[in-house]
Order: sequence, then C-alpha cells, then structure tokens
Amino acid sequence: MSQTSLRIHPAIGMARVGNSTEYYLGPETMAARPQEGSDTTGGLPIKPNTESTTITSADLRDAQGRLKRQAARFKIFQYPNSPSSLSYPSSPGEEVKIGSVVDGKKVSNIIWTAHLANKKANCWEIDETANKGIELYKNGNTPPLRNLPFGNNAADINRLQKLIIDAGPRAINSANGSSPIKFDNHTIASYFDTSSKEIKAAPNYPIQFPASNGSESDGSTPINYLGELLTDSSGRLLVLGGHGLACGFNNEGSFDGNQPLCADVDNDNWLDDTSDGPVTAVLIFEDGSKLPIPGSAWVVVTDPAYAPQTLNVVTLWDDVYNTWLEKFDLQPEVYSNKSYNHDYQPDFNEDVFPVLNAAHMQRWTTNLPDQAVNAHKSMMNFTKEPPKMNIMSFIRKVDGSQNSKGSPLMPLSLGDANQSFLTLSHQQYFFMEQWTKGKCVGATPLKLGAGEQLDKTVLVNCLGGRFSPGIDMTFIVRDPNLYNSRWHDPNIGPFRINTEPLDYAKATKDKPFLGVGYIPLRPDPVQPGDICKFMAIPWHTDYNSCATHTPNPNPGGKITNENVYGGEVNTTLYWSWPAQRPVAVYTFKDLSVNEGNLKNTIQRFSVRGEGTAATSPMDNPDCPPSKDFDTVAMNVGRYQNRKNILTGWIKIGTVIQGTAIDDYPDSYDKDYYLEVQSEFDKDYSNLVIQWPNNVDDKVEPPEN
Amino acid sequence: MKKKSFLKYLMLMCVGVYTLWIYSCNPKKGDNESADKDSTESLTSQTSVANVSFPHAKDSSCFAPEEWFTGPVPEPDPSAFPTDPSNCDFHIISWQYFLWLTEKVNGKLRFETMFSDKSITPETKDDTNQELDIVEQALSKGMLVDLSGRAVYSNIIINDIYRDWIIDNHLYNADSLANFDPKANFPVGSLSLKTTWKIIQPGDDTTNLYTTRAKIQLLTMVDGQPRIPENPKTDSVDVALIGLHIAVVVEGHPEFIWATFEFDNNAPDFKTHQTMDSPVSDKDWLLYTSKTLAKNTNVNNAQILKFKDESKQILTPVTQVARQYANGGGSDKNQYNIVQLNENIKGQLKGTEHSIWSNYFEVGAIWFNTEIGQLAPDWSPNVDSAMVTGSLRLSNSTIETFTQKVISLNECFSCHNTMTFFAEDGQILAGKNLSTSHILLKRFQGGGQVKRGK
Repeated sequence: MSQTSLRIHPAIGMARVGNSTEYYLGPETMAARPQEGSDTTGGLPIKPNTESTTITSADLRDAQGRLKRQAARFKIFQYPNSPSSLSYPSSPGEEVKIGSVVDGKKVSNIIWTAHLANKKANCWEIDETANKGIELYKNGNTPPLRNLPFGNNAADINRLQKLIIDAGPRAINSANGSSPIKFDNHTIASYFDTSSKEIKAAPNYPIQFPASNGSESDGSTPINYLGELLTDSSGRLLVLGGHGLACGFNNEGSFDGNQPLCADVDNDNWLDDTSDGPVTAVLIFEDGSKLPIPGSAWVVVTDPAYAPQTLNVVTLWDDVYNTWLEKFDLQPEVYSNKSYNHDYQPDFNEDVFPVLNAAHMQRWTTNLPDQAVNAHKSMMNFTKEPPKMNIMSFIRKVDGSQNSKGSPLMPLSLGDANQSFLTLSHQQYFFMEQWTKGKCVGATPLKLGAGEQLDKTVLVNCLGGRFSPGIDMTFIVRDPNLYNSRWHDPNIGPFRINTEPLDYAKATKDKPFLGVGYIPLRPDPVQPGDICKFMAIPWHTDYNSCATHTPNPNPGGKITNENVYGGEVNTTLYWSWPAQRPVAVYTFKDLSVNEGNLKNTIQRFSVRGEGTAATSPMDNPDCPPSKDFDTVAMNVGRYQNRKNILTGWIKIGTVIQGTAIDDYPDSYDKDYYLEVQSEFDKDYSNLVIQWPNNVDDKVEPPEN
Repeated sequence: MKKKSFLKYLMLMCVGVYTLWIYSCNPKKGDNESADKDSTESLTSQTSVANVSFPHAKDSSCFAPEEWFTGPVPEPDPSAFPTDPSNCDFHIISWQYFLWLTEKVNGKLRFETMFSDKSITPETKDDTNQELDIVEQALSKGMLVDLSGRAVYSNIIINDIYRDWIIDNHLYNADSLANFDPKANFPVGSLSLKTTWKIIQPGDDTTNLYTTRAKIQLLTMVDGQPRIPENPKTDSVDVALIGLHIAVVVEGHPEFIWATFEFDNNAPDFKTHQTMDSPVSDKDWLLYTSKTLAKNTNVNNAQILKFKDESKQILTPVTQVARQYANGGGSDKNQYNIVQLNENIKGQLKGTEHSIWSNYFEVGAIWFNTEIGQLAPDWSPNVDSAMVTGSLRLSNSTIETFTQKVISLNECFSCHNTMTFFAEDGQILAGKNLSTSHILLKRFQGGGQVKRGK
C-alpha cells in the first residue's frame, strides 16, 4: 500500500572546519557544472540565511580574517504515495519545511538530534607505507592500532576513555531560532526521547574531551568543542564543525604541547577536532503531534574546501555510487548479475561530461604543461555524439592491467590500494565506453528529485579515488557493511550509513558510551566518530604532505640512491588530490599585476608560507630520520616542519572562479579559477616548474 | 634487384655447415626480430657482405663492410632491408645513412642539400634553406645553453620521398590530413633528420668537429623569456655539428628506425648506479664541466632562462649535459653491437678523407620487433612497449637533454607515436600512423613546436 515516506537529505552531509566562529553553507550545486543562466559554475558554497545565493571571495573569511566554517545543511523531504519497495531514483518528493503539510497536517517545528564524536586516536593505522587500504582488514585481520601505549585492544576502557572525543548527542528545536547548541564540555547532552516524545537532557552522558586541560603551545591546542547545531527559519538543520584544532597528548593522556609530528597520516599522541555522527529529525505538527522521521542521515566534519569549484576526476560520489550499483542492486538497468548492461544508455551530461570537465579543471590547481591544458580544454568540445578519436586509448583501463602505467593514460594522478595510478571507477569507465559506442545519443536523462540530487551533489563535491586515506571519507565507502542495506524501505532509501541504534537513556557518567564500533568488512554497525576515524590524525599533516609524490608502489621498485638514474624506477612526481588539495595555483593578485594576461602569470604553490622552502630531509625536530629516498624536489609545496601546518592551514587561499571574486574586472576571462584570500603575503616556497617534475629537479626560489 | 640478391644471399647462408655451432655460440633470441635468423646471419662474413646490397650482419661480430671506407659509402637501399634483420642490421644501416648523409657533395654535406621541413607544400617544395631555426628542446620551453652561454641550435631536414608523399597526398592541408587513412604509412625511404649545432667561440678547439657557416635566428624577449620571435633577425655564425638524429623508413619498418649520433666529446655517460650527488666525470667535455654532480646535469631551464647579455645573445644559466643512458640502453647485445660497430667504423674512418666523422658515434637506435607488433593508430610505447626494441631509452643528449630523466619521455617513440594529437588551437587529429611525424603535426596546428607525450 502506498503511503507518504519521509527522508532526510543529504544522506551524508559535509561540514568543514574553520577557525572563524562564522560560517557559510555547503555547496548544493556540483563543482564545475555549468549553471543555467549564469556564468558561474557550480560548487560554490552558499551564503547563510539564503536558499542558494552563492558566496563571493569576501565571504571566505570573517572580519578578523579567520577562515569561515562550512555548515552542513540538512533538509527533510516527503515522498507521497511511496511504493512499498523503493527503486532508484525514486519519485521527486518535496521539501518539508515549517509550514509544510504532511499527510494533511501542518508542520510547526522540527526537532533535530545529532551526535558528534571523533575516534581517530582509537583507530587502526592507515599504514601509509603499505598503501593497501581496506585490504588490510580482510580475513579477520586489522592493521596495527594507533596509540598502542594505551592498550592493545581497541575495546580497552583506557583507550575508549582517553582516545575518543565524544561530545555526545545534542537536540535542537527549530522553535528556538538560531540559538546554537554546542558540542562542548559545558552543554548538557540531549536527545529526542521516543518514549516521552520530548527533548530529554542526558546529564549522565559521559561527554569526553580527553587532554583538554592546558594552553595552546606550538600549534597544539586543547580540544573542548566539536561544533554546534543551528536551525534556519525553515526549520532545516545546520551542523557546524570544529575550528581545525590539533591537540598533542602524552602517554598518560594529558595535554602535551611538545609532541612531535613524525608521520603524515598516523601520528600517535594526537587528536583533532573533526568528527562525524548521525542526524535524526522529528516533525512537530500544529496539533501537537510528533512524527519521528524513521531513517537517519549522517554528518561528516572534515578539512576546508580550498578549491570548491574544482571537480575531482573521481569523486566520492563515484566511489559510493559504484558500491551501490555493484553491491546493492541500485539500478539493475545499469548493473546486474555482476556485469554492466551494454545496452544501457548513459546520459552524456550526467555520466560522461563530468569526467571530461574535471580533466579540464585540473589546470587551476596543478602545474600541468601548456599542451596538456590544451588537450584538456578540447574535452569541453565533446557532445553526446561519439568522439571522432579514440579517447579510450587515453583512459587507464579499470581491469587492473594498466595500474602501473603513467602518462599518457588518464587520470594522471596517484592511485591507492596498492595501485600506482588512479583509475576511473568502473561505472565511469563503462559510461565513457558506452558514449564512444554512440549510446549517449537518444539517452533519457535520469531525473533525480531534489533530495536525491542533494545526496549526490554533496558527494560529487568531495574527493574520491585515492583513499590514502583521502580528505572527506576514505576506503570504507567501498565496504557494503558501511551502509544500511534495507534501502528499498521508502523511509530509509539508498546511501544511508548503517547506523547503530543508540539508547542514550543507558548512558552513565563513569563508562564510555561509545565502543569500538564499525570495523571494515565486519557487520558491526556504525557509531558516531566511526567514519572520520579512518582519516589522517591530525588531518593537517596529511593535507600538508599530499602535494606530489612518486608512485606507490613504484612500478620499477623502490627508489634508491643507486637506481635513481637506472631507468627502471619511476622518478616522476605526480599529484595526490589535485582538485581538492591545490598544489599550484594562479593568484588573482598576480593576474591583476599582469592586467588579466594569464599567459604571463606564474603559478605559485598553494602552501607557501614561511618554512615551505623545500629541504631534504624535511625539518621535523624530535623525529627519527627517514630511511626513505628523499630529495628536495620531492618536498616542494608544503611545510617542511609538519608542526607549521597546524597553524598555517588557516592562511591557505581558496581557488574560485573569477566571476565570484569581488572587484573582478569585466575584461578578465570569466572562466579563470584563481586563488583569493590567501594570507601568505610573501611567497617563501619555491618556483613552480611545469610538469613533468622529477625527483632530481633543481629547486629554485620563488618570484616575489 | 637488391631484394633478389638479398634472398640469394640468404639461401646461400642457409646451407652453411656451421649452423649448429652458431646456435650454441649465439643461442639467445634476438631483441629485434626472430630468433632463428641468428643461425643464418652468423655465417655472414665480410667478404660475402661485399657482394650484396645490404650488408646483412651478425650480432656476434657487428662490423661495417670495408668497401664503405675505400670509396664513397654506397647509398643505403631501404627497400633491401632484410625481412629477418638482426639487431646489428639496424645499427649498420643507421651508420650507413650517417656516413652517406655526411658525405660531401659539391662542397656541402649531402644532408645540407636536402629539403627543409617547410618544403611540404606545393608552394615551398623547393625550400632547401637550412637556417637554424630551433632552440627549444624537445617537449620543453627550455634550451640547451652551452658553456659559453649560447643556445645550441637545431633544424629539421627531410628528403624528397618524405616531402613528396606529403605533397602528393595533400597532407599539408589540415582537412586532408584529418581524413587520411589512419593506417597509411610513410613510404620506404622517407627520411627526416634533426641536427644540432654549437656556435663556435673564439678559442674553441674545433679540430675534431665538422664546422660550417650557418644562418641562425636570433633570440629576443618573447612573453618574458628569451625566444626566437615570429619574425626574427638572423646572423651568420660559425657552427659545429654536435648531434644528428636520423629517422628513416626501411622495408618492413614504417615506424621509422630512429637512430641518433653525437660528437664524441659532447658529454659523459652516467655511470652504472650513478648517484645524484656524485660527479658524472672528472674531465671537461664540450657541454660538461668536470666534476659537475649528476643532479646538476640536464637541468631544464624553461622557467629561469634569462639573457645575461642580449646583444651578445648570452644566456644564463648554462646547461651541464650528461648522457643518462649509454648507448640508449636496451639489451646487452644491443649495447655490445653499438660499441663494437662504433669502434669498428671509427677505426676504419681514421686516415680516410672522411676521418672527421671518426669523431662522432652512434648513441643508439630504436625500432620495432615486427614479429611482436606493428605500427597501428592510437599506439604509445608507454601503454604497450612489447614490440619496441633496440636502444630502449634512446635520447640525444643535445636534443632531448631534459627529457632523458622522465620515464614517460625517455625514448623516441614516447613522443613520436600514433596517439591522438591535440593541437594548440583545440583541433584534434585522431590517432594515425603518420602522426609519428612532428613535421605533419606542426603543420596541422599551423606552426609552433609540437609537444607530445605529456
């Protein structure tokens, strides 16, 4: 029997840290996607208190110059006459705001509950050397735990108490307007109690902010806040994350301002204030009745978006969508019985163009040579008609046979999971192949409703492909255990996290509430903090490092002093996450000096503050010397002392389209994407040399 | 005629009584063509070579025929190239072309009488102006700057077969080129050359170099960097030949044999297991200062190049050159053949009227093992290198100075391949066999240096 179903969208929302107390809203258009009636492409964040007015360069920082946070905005959609078994895409649905009518009843308020936690320090190592991702969890195995001095079992109470930041749940009633409810040490935990149908305080909830007594020292800052909840005038939820802090602690679990940072991904004795957790909602009707939305969404708080309009070639959506196509029978017309349907007609604009468009966009955040820029630019001329050239000869096969082959195969960035170079996800490759066979001609575009579109858009604007570990979410998105498999239930829907039901009434002060939670390739449901826990700790060091690297594994074997010129090892440097971790940028300031002439404008490293001039070895005091092959050229475009990124990240500029830059002259090209709002007044790094870059490149000082 | 005599020669060799002995001495499958051929080739003697048009040679004794040095070197016959060549055969024909092209004809070297790369249209078909018009290195905006601070100059030269095929098929026209059969190959005998020249400075010892007077295009500042502008001034200067690329289509090898030669004293080879922080050589070379560390050689100056004195055309920084791969790498047999043949030919040249060329050597040559794969559209060695053989990492240290170190650019086919070409103006030329020719690609995009492989 059909009925109205209700779901929260996006299924997974992304908030981003910033050192400002202010915020803007996460983008609700897809990065680089042409927008009808506008010169400005998609991906720009949205001004607060607006539906969709996108920000300009002046909105990136507050009046004190602090980097604003990105709020994740959650909306409720109703789907009248839902079938008993949902298919994808479902019916369009419509948003439920305050004043909307659901099954004949008017919504007067909405209660939201979210729970933020960070379990990074109680997670297993990502093992950046092995670079094997989820492989390390196969056959009941796990990689070594982080922070072993706190116990060798992830379930040890000592570990659960001292290594997990758990702010607990917070509930907010939209009737309370924009008064924030904070995830901090002082605000009592609260949640919507389904028995009493009221917001219930949970004073006994064991809020945990370990190592939070102390004073900021050398970039290490006690963490006692993970974010806050707000609602807007329509009753939507806004989740704000932390301020981008990292906190060192000693082996007793006390704050320590002197902990070294000796790794890019797995730093023991450190915490950061990213987080994640479930989001639920309850509709309150004018008649006083309350209707809990049966399903839930999830919020992830992660790194800032320094190039929000630059599309990743493989996005987080591509990885998530691939899992859902291949493991959950999401669209049998595309994939079923373990194979793609070769009669399927993909939509050029939706399924093929993004790959071409992303290639075109890479020039704004990488040091691609002119000829590559030209080649990528010509991608923009393709239409749904099959290309009159063999484009697949440039696309790395997804069968594994070309994983170790670099240029000219695309994408030319680094891979993960023991794969030297990145490949498109299977369906991206399939859609491209179908296009070359003429299957896009006459295709019927897939119509997503606004809610399901939001599910997709949010993930399109995040990093996929190279989960080593990545920026927003990591390899766990390829694990079907992460998701709620009951997606055919119209009150659940696809792409939902397999949320562990949490009974807050059972919380006691003396016992950690959260446990080990989700382990990849195991059926354990997901607790707050289980998603961010697989990311780098702190995130800053990984962001700093992931500019360019040689392939890992190197197809010719490990580079040594003796084989560096032998011709077997690959000594070229490639980008990690170029669309989301800008490496080389054009600054609006430099372009202005050249009166809009890009040809005469140099590129600069995005990370170029004091201490970014490359050295070898890098300058990390109190760390054991690295035994790995290392050269100056391998260390460009990053802080040489990892500690400096803990304070330097707030100075990094943001790459946005000229049309979104305040006072952008009309005479300048509207399709330039330029860095603005950098607080690196002087360039301390190195001259950006066009790719291909090699480990033995001579490194030159920058132009100032 | 020549094909016939070659077959006759082969038959003669096949009855050799030493076949089994040869199998045991040289049992390894060739890195170029079939394994079986070695058994017959091995019976080749230099006396029998003298009786055939193509000096079919064996890999165990890769020598040039004596007749090359007793009179004019015979004109190479690319149509008589063996159907079952040995590794040595490719190096032999490369050297034969080198000697033939550098022979004096009416006071000029033979290649100096050939056509410029601009001769590929009906209007310009007689263009033999060999003005030195290239300073940018392969795939780069960088220039090889010699130790005196002058740019090393290049030009590109083609023969009539190469030119006529382009003109006859209207391939100078972008549409004709775009619509041309993607599998069509350059005809046998097509020849293209790239030369490199060092400008002679007062006091330079040029005793061992071929020198001549040449017109060069002068540099000036273009887009903030020293470049040859669109309508350059020229000057006549004394120059010395330091490098010569020879690309030729021989029977069965439409991919071209890509061979390269250099002046002996250009630059040192990297040592086996060369490290970045150790010198490449303890002595001075024409383009290398003694004890320069390896990491300071072959440094691309693309974004830092400046005039030290524009009026004197002096640039900074100078380039320290070293050869990363001796003999262009490849199998031991390939390298042995190159070394042996170089020694043999250089030894025989000494004392002849061509002795100046004894100061040059074949760095290496690269081609296809056509039993494994044939030239086909949309091919790049970086995707499928199975059929590529010979000197697998071949660069000329004066032409591809900066790309030697880049794994995706360190041999001829890295850039001279058949992948789709994306022109500067956005036009796309789908993958074609003829796209190994950068002369055509340059024409397709209306001029401007072709940069492929990245």
